Amino acid sequence: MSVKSHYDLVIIGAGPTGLAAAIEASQHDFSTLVLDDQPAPGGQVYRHITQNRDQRQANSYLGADYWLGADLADEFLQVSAELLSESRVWQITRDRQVFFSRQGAAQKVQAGAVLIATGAMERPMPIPGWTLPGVMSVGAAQTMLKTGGSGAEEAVFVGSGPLFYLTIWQYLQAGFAVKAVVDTAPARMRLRQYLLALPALLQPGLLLKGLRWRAVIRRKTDYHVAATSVAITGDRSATGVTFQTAAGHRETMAAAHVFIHQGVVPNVNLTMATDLAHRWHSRQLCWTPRTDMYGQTSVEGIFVAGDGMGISGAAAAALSGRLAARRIVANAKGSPLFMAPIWRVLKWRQAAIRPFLDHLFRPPDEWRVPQDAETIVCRCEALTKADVVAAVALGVSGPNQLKGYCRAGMGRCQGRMCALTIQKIIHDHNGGTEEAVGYLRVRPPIRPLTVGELAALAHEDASG
Amino acid sequence: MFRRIEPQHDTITIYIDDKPCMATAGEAVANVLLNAGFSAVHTAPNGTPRGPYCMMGVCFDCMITLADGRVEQACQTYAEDGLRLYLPMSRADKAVS
Amino acid sequence: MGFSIAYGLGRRGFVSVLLDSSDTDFKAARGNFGLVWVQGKGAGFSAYADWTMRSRELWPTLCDELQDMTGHDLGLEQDGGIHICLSQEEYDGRKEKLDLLRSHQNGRFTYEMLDRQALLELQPDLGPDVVGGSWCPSDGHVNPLYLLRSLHDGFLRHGGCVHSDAGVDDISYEKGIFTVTSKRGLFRAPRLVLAAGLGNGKLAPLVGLRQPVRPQKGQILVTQKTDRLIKLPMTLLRQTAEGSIMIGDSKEEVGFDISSTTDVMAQIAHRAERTIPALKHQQIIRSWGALRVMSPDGYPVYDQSITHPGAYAVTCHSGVTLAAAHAYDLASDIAAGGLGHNLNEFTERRFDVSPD
Repeated sequence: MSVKSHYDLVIIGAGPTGLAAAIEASQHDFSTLVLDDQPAPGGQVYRHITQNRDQRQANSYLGADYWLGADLADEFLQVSAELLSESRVWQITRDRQVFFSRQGAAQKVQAGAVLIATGAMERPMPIPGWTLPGVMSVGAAQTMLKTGGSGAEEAVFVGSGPLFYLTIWQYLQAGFAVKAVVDTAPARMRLRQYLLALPALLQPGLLLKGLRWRAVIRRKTDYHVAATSVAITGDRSATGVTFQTAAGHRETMAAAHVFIHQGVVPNVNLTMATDLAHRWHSRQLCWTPRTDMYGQTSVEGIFVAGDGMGISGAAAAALSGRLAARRIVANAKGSPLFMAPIWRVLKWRQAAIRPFLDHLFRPPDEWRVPQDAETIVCRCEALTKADVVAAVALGVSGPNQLKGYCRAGMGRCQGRMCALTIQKIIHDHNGGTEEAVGYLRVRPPIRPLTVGELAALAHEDASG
Repeated sequence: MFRRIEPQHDTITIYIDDKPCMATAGEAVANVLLNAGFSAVHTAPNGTPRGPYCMMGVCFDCMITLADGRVEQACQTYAEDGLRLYLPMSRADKAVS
Repeated sequence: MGFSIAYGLGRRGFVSVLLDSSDTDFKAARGNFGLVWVQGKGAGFSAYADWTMRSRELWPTLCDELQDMTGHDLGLEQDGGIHICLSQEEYDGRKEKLDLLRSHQNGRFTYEMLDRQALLELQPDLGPDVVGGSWCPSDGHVNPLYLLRSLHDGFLRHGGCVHSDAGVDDISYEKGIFTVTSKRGLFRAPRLVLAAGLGNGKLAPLVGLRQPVRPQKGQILVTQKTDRLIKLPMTLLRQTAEGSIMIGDSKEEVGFDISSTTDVMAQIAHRAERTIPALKHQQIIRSWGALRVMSPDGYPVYDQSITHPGAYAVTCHSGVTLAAAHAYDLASDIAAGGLGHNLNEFTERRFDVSPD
């Protein structure tokens, strides 16, 4: 299928945000292109949904929330918006040229407006042994259930958070034996957290669901609460997990598969590389692009919506996408913004439980920066906390100077797995605010592309 | 070991280090690798083995080499009948450290 | 540049304070390609050619000293370097330039023009467009970031002190003492070296000097790590000790803009692919852009103030190649309170154009 050279709206990401935005834009005679790196729409939360749709009964273990995505995907496939799958966006310019790679060829498209709907990724979890083969993120375990209908038997799950409990529940529903669940959320909630839970009462269904999941997990697995000092052991691959129990004993168990999770954060590489302004979200402990209530960023015509704007969950994400698309269409056509206030309220309501969850599942400091100095902090360059601390001790002004001194953040992942950790290490040493430490300077291409692919763009320009 | 909940239907063949392996068309190669028992695919700069971690393209630890020499993420590479790929680890391929 | 001089002063027993700017400020030192390069330098400025060669000869000493002191391997290789020509026109132009340089240098500078066949023996797998190139045995490369780290580390070990996020807002002078007002507070010393790159334009006049500098943007691409493909460093292509390939570069007059632009990146990639076709399948994992600090003629400026004795303003755009000369000779001059005669031609007074 051939891509036009210009679209009124280019959406990056075909998760709930992008799909909802595309549906909305299509209703207003607005040429829309969705670029997504997966083979089929759904993003991460609804991954593989169009392929799984026909086996809904067999795949009921994925849970009702997942299947909500099927209707959204179906609706999307009916509208006029175009979808280009397996397309990796690697640069967006200030004047809204979008560069992407597909099937080994780099292409570009001009957008009237851009909506970045690339969502979230799991927070890096630098605990001892996290780089061993056999250790994967809980999101990865969930993805394998969704996309390959496969899972690991007798795995140990370590961490906490909504995605953590959901995935373990899905594993159990699918018939996998879960060896143990090592829950790192604190044993008792503080009064402040109870107060924050009050808005969460607007979503009693969610609270009850969470309690139900935990009850099932408690019943069906070897469940340990309030674990600290977690380490994964092994030489060439994971062979065990050790941790300190709430009672203060050291517990050790054998495991060849360990899944870890400590929440999700916006995936900011594309927004950072586009030179958008960001702010530090001190409750969620992550960076988010600065936007107005509709998602308009610091660069006109470039919007962000969904979890990429701030972690709010799938339902809020879809509303966020619709809101942004509405605004974009209204800007272009001068049409009124009916329904926008209602959607904003709905979106707030969907996200009402968020402050409670953010506090309950706030990553402990030992998961933000490892206590053990030999733990790998920068995976790509295999740098330990000790390596990074040695460079910080020279006196660095921030992550960019640090990167120059020890290579942390200089690898393939462009800081996705280490920038937050590095920022905290620098902050622990330098003081000041976490926001003032700043982030790695991320530059395009934010996804790798070959020299040949990039070189071919020079031919194109030359031949007009 | 990973196991599949349901047996695969309509499988195609891909080649991992020249050895045939069954896969579903369009399946992420990382899926195929993990189900075939490979947990490590390349070696980090400090000599330690690494394998798939995030399954969504952000960790860059599931690296494989394609027949034309390109290094790619296995979780972003999709199985087609006859696809040939090599594990950098088994070729002591510096490329991917 | 600042760290080279600071290190050099430190090893001479000077207790110094280095005020560095903030993490996201323009820092030419972080944008350097890493060449320790002689060929082609100073074809129109003999003293610069001499200075460059001097630094090249001092480099192994600096490298050993830093490595012994800090334990960091700088990855220095000085086995020669190549400038590739992709057309007969390029080749002829290059030859002309280097012949001129050689004739001014009385044999100190040696090089050879190599045709394609001869070049293939040094660097296999050259693309069909490669006509030939110039090879100079004195050229080499080093890891520029590890150099900076080692100089910083070495400076601290010699008793120096570094303050980051210490951008300078004002400088005053009274009775032989400079008072520097920075974001980290006030600092006082009888001697002051301004090595603030593009910041020198604003600071130099505060001590009675001029340093007309302008930004010139350069972009580079960095690939994944791979087996050794590039045997010798080239002006636009080098492979690091870790295995990643750095591909340069551009010279853009676009003001204070360091963004990565696709048109330029594509051209850089295109030239690299023509040079070594095997690069075609290498994944680009990073791009970089930085601002060179360019004087009006592109050559270094070294000045000491007459109105404010004790103040120096220094600038160059080849801070890595010249690091050894700066750390040893220039620092030694500054320590002795003057500037060597060999640096007479580098004063900014050379930019004064007398009216015709």
